[in-house]
Amino acid sequence: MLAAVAASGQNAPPHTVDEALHEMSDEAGVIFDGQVMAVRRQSGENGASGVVEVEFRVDQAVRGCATGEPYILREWAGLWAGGARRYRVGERLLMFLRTPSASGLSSPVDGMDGAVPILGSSPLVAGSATAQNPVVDLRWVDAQVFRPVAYRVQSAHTDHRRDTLLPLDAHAMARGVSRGTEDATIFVQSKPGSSRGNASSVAAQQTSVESVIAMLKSWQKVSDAVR
Amino acid sequence: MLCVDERPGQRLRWAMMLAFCWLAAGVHLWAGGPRWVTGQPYFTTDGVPIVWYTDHPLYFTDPGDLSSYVNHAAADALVAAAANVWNVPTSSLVLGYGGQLDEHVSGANVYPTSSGLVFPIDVESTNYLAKQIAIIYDYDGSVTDLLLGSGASEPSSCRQNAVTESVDSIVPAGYIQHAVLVLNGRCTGPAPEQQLQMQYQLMRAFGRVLGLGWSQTNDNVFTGSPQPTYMQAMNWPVMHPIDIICGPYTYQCMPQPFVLRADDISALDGLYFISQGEAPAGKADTLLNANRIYGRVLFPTWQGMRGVNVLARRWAQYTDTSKEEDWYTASYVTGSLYRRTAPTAVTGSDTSMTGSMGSTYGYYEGYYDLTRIPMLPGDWQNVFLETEPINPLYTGQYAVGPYIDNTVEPSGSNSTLDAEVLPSYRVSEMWLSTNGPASACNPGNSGTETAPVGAASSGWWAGLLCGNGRTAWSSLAIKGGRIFTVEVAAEDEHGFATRAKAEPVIGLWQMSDPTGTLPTLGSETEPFNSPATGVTSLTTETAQPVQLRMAIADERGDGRPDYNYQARVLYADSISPANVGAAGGVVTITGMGFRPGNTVTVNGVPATVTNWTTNTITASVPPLHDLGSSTGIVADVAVNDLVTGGVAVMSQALTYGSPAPTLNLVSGPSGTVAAGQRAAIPFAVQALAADGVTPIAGESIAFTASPGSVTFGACGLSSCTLSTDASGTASTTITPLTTGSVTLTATGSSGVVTISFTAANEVRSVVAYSPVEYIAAGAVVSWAPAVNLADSLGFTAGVTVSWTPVAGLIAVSPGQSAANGMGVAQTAATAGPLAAGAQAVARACAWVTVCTNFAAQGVDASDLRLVIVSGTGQSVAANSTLTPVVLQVVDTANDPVAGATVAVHQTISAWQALCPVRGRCPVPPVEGSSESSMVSDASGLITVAPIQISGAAESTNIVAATGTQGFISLAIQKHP
Repeated sequence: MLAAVAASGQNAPPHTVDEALHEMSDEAGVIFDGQVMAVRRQSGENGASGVVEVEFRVDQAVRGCATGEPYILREWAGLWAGGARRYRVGERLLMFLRTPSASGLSSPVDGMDGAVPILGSSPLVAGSATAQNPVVDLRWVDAQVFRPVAYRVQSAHTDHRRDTLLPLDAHAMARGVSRGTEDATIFVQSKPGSSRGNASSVAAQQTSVESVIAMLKSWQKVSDAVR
Repeated sequence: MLCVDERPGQRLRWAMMLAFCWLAAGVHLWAGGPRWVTGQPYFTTDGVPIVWYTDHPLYFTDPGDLSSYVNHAAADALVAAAANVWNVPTSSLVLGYGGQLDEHVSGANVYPTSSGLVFPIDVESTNYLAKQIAIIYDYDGSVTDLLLGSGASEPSSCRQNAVTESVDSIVPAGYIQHAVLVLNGRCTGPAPEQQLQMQYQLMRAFGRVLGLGWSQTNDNVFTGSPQPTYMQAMNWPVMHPIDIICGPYTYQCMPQPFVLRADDISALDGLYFISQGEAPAGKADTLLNANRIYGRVLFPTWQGMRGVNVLARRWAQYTDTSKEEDWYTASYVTGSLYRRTAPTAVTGSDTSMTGSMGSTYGYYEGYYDLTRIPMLPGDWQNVFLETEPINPLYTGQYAVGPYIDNTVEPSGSNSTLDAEVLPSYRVSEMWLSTNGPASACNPGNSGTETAPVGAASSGWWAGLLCGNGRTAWSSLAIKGGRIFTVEVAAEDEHGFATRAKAEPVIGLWQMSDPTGTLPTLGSETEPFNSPATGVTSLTTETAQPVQLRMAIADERGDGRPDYNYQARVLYADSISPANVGAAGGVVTITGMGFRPGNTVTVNGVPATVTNWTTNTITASVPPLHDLGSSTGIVADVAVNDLVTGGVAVMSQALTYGSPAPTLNLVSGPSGTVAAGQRAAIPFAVQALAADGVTPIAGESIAFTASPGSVTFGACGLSSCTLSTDASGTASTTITPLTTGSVTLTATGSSGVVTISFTAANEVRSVVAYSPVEYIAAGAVVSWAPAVNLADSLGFTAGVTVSWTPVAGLIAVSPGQSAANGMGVAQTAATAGPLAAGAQAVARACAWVTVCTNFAAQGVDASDLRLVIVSGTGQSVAANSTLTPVVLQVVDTANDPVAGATVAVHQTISAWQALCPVRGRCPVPPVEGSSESSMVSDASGLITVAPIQISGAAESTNIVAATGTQGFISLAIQKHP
């Protein structure tokens, strides 16, 4: 299987958020931290599909743009089909964008996962004198990280009404695995992001904008050196 | 017919349940999780899931090969496999192959224009009647790159870009007419897993194209918590929002990935429903061997609660509880048919397709619809309904349910309902609530657009956005030239800041603005733009005084009993004093919304804040020099909240006085100064330039005194004009000539300095404690003469006293000593031998000129006398001790005489009782005697220790004699 993967050019999934960010960085031609200033829909004419222009204020440029200058992303209107609202005016994002193609169109790396939200993180507590730095919300990036799949034995019954989990039997678990997952890679291992979506995982998957930008710039230097 | 029962033994309780049921035949149903829902005004229908305009949409494939590994036939087979998954018996949908496109689509015939890409004509949406779904085989990835950007077709991006889907025609009638699917040929290859992965992704894309939304069912399979069972994975829907990435191919991360789950079928059937008895050939009624449960999740206020995931779990008839399934079969998010965004006063209305999604019909707000819950073997089954929140990751492109941009946590905790559902075709309506939800919708007086309520005087207030479209209206007077900040923190029903409830937006108008307009003074329509958690912030400037109208609303036009908020206006209204000198000073800022930790700056330069209340801040503003100015300015004063980023600015509010050259006092006499004497402290002034730093040299300074009269030492006159030196200083000594109040003035072109003091005559004295020391003629005596110093204008401690012999045989040492804290100084003197009547004189002088004499004088032996000082008359017990007897040598004037020799004779006689009245008193025997000679000390004293017999009763007789006439005798005794 590994040989096939190599032949296909498909990457093995990243094992950490850092690796995931690094892959996104490698694929992106434009990276910046910025704020959405305007969204302009341009209807197609003469059979054209239409374009949506998203204007950003670039607060910190990493690659392919300049800090302080606006950056206009032109997306294929088909991505906005069905009334999808991909960006909101005013929201702050860490953008990993592909280099525009010959059509002038582009989009975030990894779908909208390449538009990483930036959030405020200071508690609104009386007496607090200073704000914490904004953070990059990496929960969706974390969802791209490799995670082994494992099933507990089916006979282990969760009593939903009592909200308890009955004890597991390791051998039974193994049987369940061999019976049920012929294609899956099976590991009995918990994953750091196993609490995906709950509050405790949020803090663990938020990193200051400054540290992420610094990391991306250091990678940029490395890649430039390689070039 | 009652279709549900409630089990009293359940720990999880139900707040409310209402149930009824009917047979489903002929009833128009909406079910599953629709991706889109119609609504006014864009659509002509309301609250209807958007589906294909035909139950038989056809897809048309590219005539070319997909890649060098997948030729056209193989690609068609792959597409067919992915499409056919969605052809299920209980759904009216038939997704079929329609034929080929007219041409192989590639970068060669897809070309860009200024308004987007132009596809071949038969791929365009205008061709929907002929070809509903165009499937492009993007052989070299060029189309994918054109659509998504350079490199998008790279194999490394295949997890995201193997299939690009676009539903590019949804008409106002509420139907899908056309879609395009682009298969990236670079994601295929020699490994069969690559084709299977593309098939998997295409299958999910077909689901989206058909109008299905993502689903959250058995989400622990995704989260891993709790660890899932195999059956939970088998019921994890194909339309899960986010894949698990357990390796290069995500289809391998779930068992039987190409089989729709019951939840997928329920959603599909909800969109493409077959009513009872209406199944065409090859199809079956949707509810054949299945149940449908729909209803509402409600707040206690009867408002529907949106965004709650309702899940169904089954339990076969006639089995014990161990047979309850521990996985969910179907789910639905409440409110999926309800209006997703509604107009607000702040955001206005959105008549586009996006802004029109969903019905405004209140019934749908908490509505759920589990369209098809397949039956377990038997003629009936139990179904448990449970509630849960939506995973916060499921937003935007992964959104599950009606809240697209952000999930909203249900109010209260999860709950469970046991429903006994009867046979096939049974439809039940069940209303339920979560456990302990927010129970009241009492926003208080939150004002109206025409009658806003005055903002709280503290600048802080709490509120509730309850009821759809609820907007809170406040009013506030703001001065011109002010910048202020309005902040709204979204809170849950427990008062904790959160991003998972209301999404506050803020709008500002002038009170005089017509109602119904969008904000005229400013608005913030992006929630949570503040650095603080859950806080939306709007900072606005006013040029002129204005009476504000202020609106707070939910960005989506939502309103619920659990949409609490905390609002604050950070506003600095005035400053007092409004004028300070160039040195700065202490000011008080009055306003609202202040809190400890807020900082103050003046033209950006920090001030030192010493006190906060909600309405005042006391601060010490920096000197003008720190503001980088050498001339008087009017400065901006800002109050900053570093936590939220809020700021309040009073523009041009604080006036700094113009700096000018100054004449400053350096030193000068004060208090009481001795008249006639030069004051210890000179009168000195310094002239400085306007910058407060540079000295002015050569400036003429006139020194004058009035009232009072002085001599200025610099010129020896009663007035004096001096020039400042290089340090800008002019200085002179002062000698007051008269007593009384004296005012001195130094006048120059840079200013005037005035000082005052009191001049008084000074009286100093030196007084000997013992002016004459009497000593026996011919004797040599040492003693410690002492003097007391007094000064009417000052302290005497430390003043030096000089001791010098003046006449006769006297010596003093040391020659100088300092007065102690009591003003007493002393030395040691030795005088003699002196003849009777002769004197030896010495002198003590302080302050050089203030002196006193003291003397030693010889006393003739005939003038010496003895007096008893103490110890006479003792009569103690025999076992006691006689204490010493103190005698003093004095002269005839009773002055103590030092240096006199005293002869002492003592005898001890036995104790004797009183003598008889008659007859001779017997003479007691002498039991001891002694003789000694002693010399009187400086005070003329001698101390005689009585001789005595220890423990015996006795009498001691003491006889002392000095000179020629000094004699004394006494007797003391110890009695039995």
